[in-house]
Amino acid sequence: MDRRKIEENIFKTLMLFSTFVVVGSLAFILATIFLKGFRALNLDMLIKTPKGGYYLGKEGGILNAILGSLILGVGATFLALLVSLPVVFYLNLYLKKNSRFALTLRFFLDVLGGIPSIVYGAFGFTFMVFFGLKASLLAGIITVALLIIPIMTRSMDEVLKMIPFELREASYALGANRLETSIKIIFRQALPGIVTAVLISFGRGLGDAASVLFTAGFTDYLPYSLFKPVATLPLAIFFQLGTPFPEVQSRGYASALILTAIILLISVLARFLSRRFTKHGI
Amino acid sequence: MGSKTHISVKNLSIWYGRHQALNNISIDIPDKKITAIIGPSGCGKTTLLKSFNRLIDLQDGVSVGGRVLVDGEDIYAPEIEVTRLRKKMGLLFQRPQVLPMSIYDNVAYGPRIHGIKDKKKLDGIVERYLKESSLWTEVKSRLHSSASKLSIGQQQRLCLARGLAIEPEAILGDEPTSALDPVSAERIEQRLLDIKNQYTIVLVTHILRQARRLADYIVFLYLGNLIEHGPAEKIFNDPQDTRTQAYINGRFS
Repeated sequence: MDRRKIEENIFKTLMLFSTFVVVGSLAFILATIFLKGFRALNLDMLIKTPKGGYYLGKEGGILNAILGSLILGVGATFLALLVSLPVVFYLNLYLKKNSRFALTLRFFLDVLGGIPSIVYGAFGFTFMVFFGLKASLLAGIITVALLIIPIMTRSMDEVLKMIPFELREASYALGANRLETSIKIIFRQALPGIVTAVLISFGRGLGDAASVLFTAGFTDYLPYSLFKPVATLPLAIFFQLGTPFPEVQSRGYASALILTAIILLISVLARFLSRRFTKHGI
Repeated sequence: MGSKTHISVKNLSIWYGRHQALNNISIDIPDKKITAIIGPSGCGKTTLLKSFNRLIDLQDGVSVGGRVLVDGEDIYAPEIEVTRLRKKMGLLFQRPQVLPMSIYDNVAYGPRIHGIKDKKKLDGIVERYLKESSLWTEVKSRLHSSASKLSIGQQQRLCLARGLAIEPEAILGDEPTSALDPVSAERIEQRLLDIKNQYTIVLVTHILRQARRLADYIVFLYLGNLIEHGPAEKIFNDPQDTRTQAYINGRFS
């Protein structure tokens, strides 16, 4: 075999290996939580709240954390969307492509996106103390929203950047203004990407433990007030895995399985919905 | 030519950053005629065309010197509402750019924006302009299916219908047939000829034979400068400038 062919083969093998690492680690993670958690998984976990002694191995479930995480995640995603959508449309339709302000804004968002979530947690905590809030659903929602705004904005930004410039020109050429073009053309065309961005952010918010540790607190009760602490799945997993009892630890894995399943389900649903929305996409 | 002027360009210069795309252009575009802007690539044809409806405003770092008068009004004056100006001009792109919606909504998009809400009226507009761009018979049974499913030739005729539906005074075409197959291209050319007594048409083209077939009036640009302009037969049969002669005889393109 000649030299060039050997090189080609070596690199192809390396690429295949890396691909295998990616696919393999996903499969490995899923298999681990499934195998370790499957036996502990039962209906009670999904429909009951922790009874006294739950963390010692007594009966109960994690409905408090499932509901808490969903409510907190939806709230934070919604709040983040209210900020991200205007920013992203301003960035792409009102500012010119290479405007200094746009470049600065993107840089800020990237920096914000790189800040570890524990820092957001600490910031959220300071913020709470300043406003006299206690650890609560509201404080959790605000903190997680801050955490996911950069992720959401930047991923939507990438989507909007991909939309052909001519589509905008076509709308403007018909006498549409920027707002009409944003809402009727760009939003519609970008919808699948926007939905994906929202879900990535939702998943990120749902899975983050550090930001809710101080801000949302934890409770064995179901969420019932914006101003009371709320349980979340990542912390439920953390507390259960942290006990010395194997039985409770496998409940922790079962909780991880539930969290993963929720995120998976939402992704599939989103794909399906966004495909239906965009039957006229170009 | 004895025809009145519709768009009057006076000492127009356009820069993109430091690069000067147009240098001191002055021409009068006659009303209800076909004017073709010809010239080699990168000579500023599209820039000139897009300066007529201020689409160049969208570019980064653009600056404009001189004036463009449409119906005697300076369109770069601060009090001009750019959406109203653009409503006066239908634009056809090189590649047809349909909007991400149904065929019907593509045509109705402009009229809706300009305030027409009545369903019956919109139906009438959609039918009329799809007929005028000779697309009606092909799409009348599937008006509510996606515009992106049409062939590229049909899409360009849809873009023509969409442009006509805002009831413009002028049609601007930026090489509107260059992405089309010969049959579709000919249909577009035919439509333009059919409607030329109702609209001022300005076409950017790099196809000399197309300019010959369609244009009443020729503007020849070279590297951002206006070299020669005049009635088509004069430019084609008796060009004055050596560069025009060279271009028309195909010595460069």
